[in-house]
Amino acid sequence: MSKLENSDILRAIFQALYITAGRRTTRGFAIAVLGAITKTLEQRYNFLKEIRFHTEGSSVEAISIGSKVNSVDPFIVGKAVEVIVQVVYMDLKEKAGFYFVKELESNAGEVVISELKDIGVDLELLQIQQHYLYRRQSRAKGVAGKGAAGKQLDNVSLLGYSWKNVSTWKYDAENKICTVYGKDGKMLDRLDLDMIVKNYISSLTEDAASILKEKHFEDIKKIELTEKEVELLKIIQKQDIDFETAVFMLRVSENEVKYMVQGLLTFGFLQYISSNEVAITEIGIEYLKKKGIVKTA
Amino acid sequence: MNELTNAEVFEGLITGLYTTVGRRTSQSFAVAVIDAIVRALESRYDFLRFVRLNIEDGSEKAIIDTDLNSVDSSTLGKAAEAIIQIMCMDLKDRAGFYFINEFKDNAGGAVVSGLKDIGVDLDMLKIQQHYLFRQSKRIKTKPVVARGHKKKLQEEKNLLNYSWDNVSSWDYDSNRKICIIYGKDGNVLDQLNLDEIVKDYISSLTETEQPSTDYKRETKEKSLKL
Repeated sequence: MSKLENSDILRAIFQALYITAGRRTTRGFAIAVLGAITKTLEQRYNFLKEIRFHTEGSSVEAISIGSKVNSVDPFIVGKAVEVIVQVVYMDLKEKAGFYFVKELESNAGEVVISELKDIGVDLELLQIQQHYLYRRQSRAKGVAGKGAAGKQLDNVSLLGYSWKNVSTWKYDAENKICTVYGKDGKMLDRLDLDMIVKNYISSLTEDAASILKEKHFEDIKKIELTEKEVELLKIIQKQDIDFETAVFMLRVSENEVKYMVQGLLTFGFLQYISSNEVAITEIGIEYLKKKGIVKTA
Repeated sequence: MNELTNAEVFEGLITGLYTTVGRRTSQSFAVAVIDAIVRALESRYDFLRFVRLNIEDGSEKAIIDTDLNSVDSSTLGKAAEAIIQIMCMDLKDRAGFYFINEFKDNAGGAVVSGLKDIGVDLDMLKIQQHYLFRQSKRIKTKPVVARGHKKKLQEEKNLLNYSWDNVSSWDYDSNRKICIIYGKDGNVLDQLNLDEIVKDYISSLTETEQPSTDYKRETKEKSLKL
């Protein structure tokens, strides 16, 4: 029985993901998505720092893996692999299709698949999960109901009613509930009025607005950034910039900028958009607005 | 050390999800989608047959067979993690940024601690959820609104003289079927026709979402190259 090292397993699965995702989008896009996902998950799985993506080549040689990963507990590597595969197919949405996991297995090869199973990667679970989501996302009527996809699971099938079946509805102002009745007089559903009104106003005003009204955003508003961190956020929001220019503009050391970026990533104000690029998030933009640093449109 | 039984942890998981999902969709939808996920995973985790949801009356009270208590905790944890994960993925944009935080609040400290004890990695689920939420925001070009209402919403948006930032509170008037919106200075900002909003909402909930036609980023974001 062959025993592959963690670095061999990771290289093989990244190559297989690269081919499987690349076939559905473009190879350049696949490498960017893999890079962004891997950098994001570094917060939880530190060893992913050993994986480097070289965006110039856009080929399977574009991934290099440091040997330090070989000292990591294989079951932790397995858990990270599961999460990466899940996020990749979610990121691809309907483009992942029904056979994503099957094709991934085929591209990775039997030896790697067997090793993945040994380190706890549950490919069967990933496939069930992906098939469920495929059935929920299937839009062509009748397609999901036949053949391999199984029972259709669109929202009407799940709810058991659509707008056509609704006869009347009543408001309960005290409990902030709207009860919906069918044509036979039976209760069909109960809706949370606050949530509906909030969504409605948000759809009329601005896209990120709903985030501000979430009570958890209050915690974010309490965060106090340093002057330099705020300056960095503002710079990234306004222009494309490279690392050296950021260091020059902020008049601080390279390490300080790296530290600032790490902090802003942790707060959710920045996000990776590829393995070596970060952009400001809508939370970061709202933070600047809320703090009065950037004027509200 | 967790003092809840497997059945109690699972009951808390279902109730926490029900409240969190129900607030974003509807009570019937929450029960139906949790049940669909549990049933889908039953082929992998046979013991999920011990978990039944009350589909008929849409109640949050799950029926959990105490046979669940004899199931290996780590396997149970994997199933619980998969249920939360698929839920986030299923809701997509509707899950929002704070799904996991809110789920933890709704499930309560004892259940969250019980979930951690059986190996559910809620921190990892949060990172994953945040990544997917941001991705959906990044590639989304148009908000999903009920068919036929898109133009109307755009027209209303252009005419609206206030933004969400100015909204302080709102009150419902069941008799007049309106919702009155107040600004931070206590003045009335707007009066919304509840019938219209509810109709829009049910239509959008049951209508199939339009597929994105172009997966590529429509506009290049400003970024910092590291």
